[in-house]
Amino acid sequence: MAEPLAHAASHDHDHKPHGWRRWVYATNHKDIGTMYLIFACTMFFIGGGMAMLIRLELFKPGLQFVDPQFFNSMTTMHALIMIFGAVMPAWTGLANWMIPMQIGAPDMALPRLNNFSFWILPFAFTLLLSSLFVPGGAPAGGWTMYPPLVLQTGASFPMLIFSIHLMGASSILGAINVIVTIVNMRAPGMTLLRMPLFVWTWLITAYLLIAVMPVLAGAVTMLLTDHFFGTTFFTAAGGGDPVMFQHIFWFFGHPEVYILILPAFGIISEVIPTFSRKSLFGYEAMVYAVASIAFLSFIVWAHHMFTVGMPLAAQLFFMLSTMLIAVPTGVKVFNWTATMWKGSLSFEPPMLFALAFLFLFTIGGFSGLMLAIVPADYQYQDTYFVVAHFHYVLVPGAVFGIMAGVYYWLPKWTGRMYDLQLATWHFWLSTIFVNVLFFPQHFLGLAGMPRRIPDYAVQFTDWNMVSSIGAFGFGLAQLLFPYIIWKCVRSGERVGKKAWEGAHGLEWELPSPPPYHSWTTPPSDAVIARGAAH
Amino acid sequence: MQPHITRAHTAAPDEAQRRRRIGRSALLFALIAAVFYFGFIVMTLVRDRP
Repeated sequence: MAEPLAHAASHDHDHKPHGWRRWVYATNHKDIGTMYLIFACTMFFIGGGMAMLIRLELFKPGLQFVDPQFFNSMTTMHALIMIFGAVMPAWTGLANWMIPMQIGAPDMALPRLNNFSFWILPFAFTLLLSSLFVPGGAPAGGWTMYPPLVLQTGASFPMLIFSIHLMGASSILGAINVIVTIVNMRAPGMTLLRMPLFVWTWLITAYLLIAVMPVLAGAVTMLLTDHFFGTTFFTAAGGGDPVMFQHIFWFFGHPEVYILILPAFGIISEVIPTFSRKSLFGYEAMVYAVASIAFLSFIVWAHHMFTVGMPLAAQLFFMLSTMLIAVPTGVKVFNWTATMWKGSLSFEPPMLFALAFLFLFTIGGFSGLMLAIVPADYQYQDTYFVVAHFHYVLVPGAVFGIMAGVYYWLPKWTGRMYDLQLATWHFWLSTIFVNVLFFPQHFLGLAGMPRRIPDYAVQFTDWNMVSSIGAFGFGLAQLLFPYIIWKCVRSGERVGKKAWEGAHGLEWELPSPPPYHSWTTPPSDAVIARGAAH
Repeated sequence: MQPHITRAHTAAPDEAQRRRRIGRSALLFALIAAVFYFGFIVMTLVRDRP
């Protein structure tokens, strides 16, 4: 009898561990989500620092600050860090925080695996970043790692390959956890077509991750054996084919673009209805559009390699299949616009970021359509036009989507409201400077400035100066973001469980901040029906 | 120290069945990932043979 009594006396309903153990042994989805978000923010600033160096060097023609090898390392590392270290972990952090709360589950289905998939990441990026200090410097062959160039990488080559394996393992484990959670842990009554769009987009993203991250892992394993074990998968001298690597890489790489952007679609689909005080227009069409985009993402990869040479039929196929993606994407843009139509709009920071996303991501989409046209792509290939295109998709697209999500759910996570005025400043500065930074790059590319070079012809000077000024402004504006969060956590005004009056969804039925374990008792059908107001 | 693991809706009688389902589906997806990994390596190997 003594044991149960002793247990009852010390019973802590939250079971919250304290000190460093809470984080190192974390199995709680909110703690792990917080760690992912802090990690992503740290990487965002490290990768951003590299971008500042790149733009500093490109401020005027000639070599000013860095040598060309280091410049190439910066472009390579900037991409790897932003994609695998900042954007993807930020989405996983948001998924960890929100998915259990939104589907009425107490936690993720596999909490220990969740801990493991997070803690792999600091090791992977420490390894990658420490390659800056080995003889020969960090990898400089571009994030695409094309052979034979990448096989000339010095001592940092195995560090690159091993860190990519680790990042891939982390993503696959995270994706397995997300799928298993959504499939098995939904509260009774939370049918698939009652799930919030953020959960849907993450479910589809997780399927993409499981299909393509192993392909990247396979590709880099083959690079490793080509480099160290005498195989010739991609070495023409031994019967291998370097172009095969490009096919395999982009079979991973194009769905990867959608891995980076689909969860943003989910967030925008949460934010716009809330601040329009209307239900999402065409919920089911949105779900099918996301699924269609995901499917199409598997059959468009070779549009990244039109100039390597391929049969005319293949060029036509990849051009037309790429253009087809505009259809479901157009459905989504139309539905977001229709959601706002005759809505009672207000413009709090999450809505501002969502609106900027809508306009600016669409610009990135349109330049993508231009790049899909084979004869035009021969002109654009490897110019700054491509750089402008994918940065419009990834910065005011994916990064603004993350900002919208953080500003939307931060009051829920902390139980406090952040400084709305400061966040509005953050929005306007980011939006103005992101356009000053990337829009001129379209002109530079169309005029013929090649990408991945530390020096350029003098006729490109003016727009490069404008672009660099935009970069410095954008970089400085981002310093507001951690300050706003820190200020919110320390001294923000307390909010109730529904921080935004127009919000719907199960997460808004929990107190703010939510209890350590979210839904220890499943929500009732009435609560689920109220949340799923689409 | 053993980390505390939340038991999903512990009162439910089908909890053990749910745990089994979770384990099975996790293994299935891990297997799919492994097939993609080895599949692409084998495919490249086969294609590279003259």
